[in-house]
Amino acid sequence: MSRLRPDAARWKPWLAFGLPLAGVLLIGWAIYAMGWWQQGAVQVVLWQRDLYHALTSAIGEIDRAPGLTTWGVLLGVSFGYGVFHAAGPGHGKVVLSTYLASQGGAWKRAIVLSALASLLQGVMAIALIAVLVFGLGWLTRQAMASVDQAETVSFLLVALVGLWLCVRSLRRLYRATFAGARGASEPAVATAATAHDAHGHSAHEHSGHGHDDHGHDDPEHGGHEHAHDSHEHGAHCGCGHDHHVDPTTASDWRGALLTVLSIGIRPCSGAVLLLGASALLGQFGKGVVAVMAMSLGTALTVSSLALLSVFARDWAQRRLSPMASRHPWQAWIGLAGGALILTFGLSLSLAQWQRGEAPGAPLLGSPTADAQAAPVGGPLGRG
Amino acid sequence: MYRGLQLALALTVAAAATPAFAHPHGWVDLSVEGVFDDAGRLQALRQQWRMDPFYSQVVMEEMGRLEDGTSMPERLDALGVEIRNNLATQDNLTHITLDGEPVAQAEVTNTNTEIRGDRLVFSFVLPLASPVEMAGHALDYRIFDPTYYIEMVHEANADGSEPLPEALTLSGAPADCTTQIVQADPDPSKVMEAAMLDKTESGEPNLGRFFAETGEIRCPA
Repeated sequence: MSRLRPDAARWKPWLAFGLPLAGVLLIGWAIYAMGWWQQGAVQVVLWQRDLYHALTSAIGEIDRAPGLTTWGVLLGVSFGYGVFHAAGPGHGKVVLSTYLASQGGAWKRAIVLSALASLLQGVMAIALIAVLVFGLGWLTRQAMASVDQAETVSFLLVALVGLWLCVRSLRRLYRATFAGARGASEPAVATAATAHDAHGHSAHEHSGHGHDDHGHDDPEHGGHEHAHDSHEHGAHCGCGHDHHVDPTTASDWRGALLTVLSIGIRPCSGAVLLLGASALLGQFGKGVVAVMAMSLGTALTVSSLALLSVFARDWAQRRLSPMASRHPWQAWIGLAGGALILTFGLSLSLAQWQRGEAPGAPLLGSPTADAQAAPVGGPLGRG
Repeated sequence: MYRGLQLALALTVAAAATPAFAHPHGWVDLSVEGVFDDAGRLQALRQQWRMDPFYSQVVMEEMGRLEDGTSMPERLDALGVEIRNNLATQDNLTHITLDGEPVAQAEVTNTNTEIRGDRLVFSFVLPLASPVEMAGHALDYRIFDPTYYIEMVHEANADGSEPLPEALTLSGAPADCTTQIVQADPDPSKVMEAAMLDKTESGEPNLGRFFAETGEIRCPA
């Protein structure tokens, strides 16, 4: 085999990856340079503002004249509010995208997780008002202030998710190294010991790596390894049609659900306000329906973003896998993603801890701020 | 593997760089009256803030539940004092310029808080530090929450598209003085820049100024 062929084989995937990427970047740059992106972003803010006005009037309207039209308006406006609200800031989307991009998962899973997280946010808002206001007799303002505490919990859970992902990836890498050391001589043992859990996949990849220590310039050898591996273990060896972690793995679902929980536990303060105000108007049931429509809208936006990250990852992986196949790179990416989420969660928690109590709303006080142990923030505390 | 890391990083950055835009979570409908003294100088801006229905509901609930033996007007007054004190720390969210130069404010007086229909209405007089000669000058003011958590706009027509001329009036002004409310026309690239860089201590981007209307008072020389 000449020296040329491996070189060619090595360059081709880079080209296949690089050219389309350059194209996408070029288009992105063009959109940015022409100002469309900025215009779009400002437009979203303006729509969001209008939708909020529409939402308040829709609740009032349905109170005055309940009927098909007012219901339609309320549902439509709530849905739109959810769609555009999710287009704004939010740590949830970052966490979810990073999780999906680094930990793997098919598009179905991206949709399920996004939908669950969005619905959980709505349910949390409903539960907050139901339990705190109806159950414990809190003021709506106090219930709104408790969103801040839910946010802290959410940030800490995000850090926990990151930590957990890191530990899991490190364990895989460790086992892979461990298995790799002896894997050359007793692959059957390594396989048998790990085949039933997630660690088996990376362990196996790595055993290929150990095998190939000197075969780095020899793609044919590597290719052969892989064909062999995939035959033995199905789709889990990073060989071009990678299926990532098996979604049925229990530990993986635990991680996914923890991610959903970390995102969904913090209700949107807008939803809490809507529910609180509609409860005060004697329209709690309608508020609940509106919030669920809102959650559907949010789910639409969030799952689009999640799908985008899954497709981007799959696409990149297809292009890159011929080069990366000899490394336990999934575990490394998992580790990187976990580290990113951990850092993100920690920095958010830290920022909130440093900020201390949420600064009171600049303009609005509360008549009882001095009279009773005042909850954090004003009635329109930032959130 | 290195590529994989890069990829994961790039995706995260892309997701995180989605502009951190704050959407307004409440609004205030403004009316302003420019108050002139006998010498034809502008001495104060009398303002009326109509809080949005949701916020008004929440405040009314809280005041209705107080059990300290105070009457409703007393509670409203106490709320007014608190709002005034909060606002004082931020120049009453009002930015005034005369021919482009900042104009200093004195302390707010005559605060009044009342419930009108389903809205809480807060009004006050914001005196200028010293009355300003208006003949041949242009005075502009902008009232906004820097974080844009609360949207502040002049009273507008039914669909909210145009501010009403009545939302800015003059009292005791020379007859030929004119007023105008200019709607915001945010420059997307500047908004974007601010969203990326400009954060307040609470981490909210300072976007309010881009969406603020400008009230103009002009008196010929």
